[in-house]
Amino acid sequence: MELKNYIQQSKLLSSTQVSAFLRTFHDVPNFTDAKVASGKGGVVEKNIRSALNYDLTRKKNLTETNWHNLLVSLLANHANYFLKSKKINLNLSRVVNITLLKYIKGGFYKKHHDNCKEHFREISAIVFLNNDYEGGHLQFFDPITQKMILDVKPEVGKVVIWPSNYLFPHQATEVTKGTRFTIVAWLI
Amino acid sequence: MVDLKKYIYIKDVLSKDERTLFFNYVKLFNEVNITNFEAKSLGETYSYGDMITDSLLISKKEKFEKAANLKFIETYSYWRLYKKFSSLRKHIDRPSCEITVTVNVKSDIEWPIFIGGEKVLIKPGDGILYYGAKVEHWREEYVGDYALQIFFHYIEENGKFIEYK
Repeated sequence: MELKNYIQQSKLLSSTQVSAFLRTFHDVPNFTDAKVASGKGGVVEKNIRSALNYDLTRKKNLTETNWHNLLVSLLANHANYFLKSKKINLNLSRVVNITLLKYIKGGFYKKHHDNCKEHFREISAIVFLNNDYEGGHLQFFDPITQKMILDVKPEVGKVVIWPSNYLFPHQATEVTKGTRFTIVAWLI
Repeated sequence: MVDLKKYIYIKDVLSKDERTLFFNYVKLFNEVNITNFEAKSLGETYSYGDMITDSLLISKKEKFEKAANLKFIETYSYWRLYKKFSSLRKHIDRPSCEITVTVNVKSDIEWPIFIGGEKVLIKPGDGILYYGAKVEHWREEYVGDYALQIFFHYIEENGKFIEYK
């Protein structure tokens, strides 16, 4: 099977849910610079990744707690469906991280894969929250030829799920207009 | 008989202790919830037939019967923890909700309900009794963090929805 067939796209949230989520979180005052994985843990490397990050595990009130748990539940369901439909024999135990990402104009994340020794991840997930921006394409590449195999269409409420390993290098291209909001999560 | 064309306002359905206990229970429920989300709405935390509210459905029945001067049969209870930007579109309830009592447990800001075109503010611990399956009701968008409501549902003992008991 072609690698791109292991990249699942499905509807996770309704447009009403996405709208309420963004209105709740888009201007929270606690966005910080997003980090990249390294041997020392996460570090800010603005030449590799330029994005702002809000940790949804903060759960600072009842609304945030509900959103966090709802997303964990839906992501676990979609990830388990993905594993079953692709006949991948793996039992996921939990969502290890769940974060709201904000890419303002000039924001990007260079080509990378999500799993490493220090940050072990089995499954990656990205949820698109808006598409009223330019640039900011999520693109996947063949790990050998480095040829692009998929340029994901950003549909509101859609989740993209794929194995976190080195076979799935991907990038977010530079946002050239507007602000791109996504949720990113990893499951182990 | 009390005029049930719109609603009956009932004071002190829940005592302060009952409200505190139930709110703390729901806070913990919300914290660990991974299964009960209102999919057709914003995914609010909810529960049908929770044993605490089902026991209140029985123990509070007499108070509601006295207020309405009618005899009721319990059908089910339900609670929902509304969150920021929750709303309730204009609707009537299913037949097994012939009689509904909506009780305000606790909210961080006021959140009126519109019933039969009238705006009603239910104080914490109080409730309104109405023909849920007959009278249209709705709420505008909530802008606070949480609003916890319990819904007690009954049918009339000799009413037309007796097959829903």
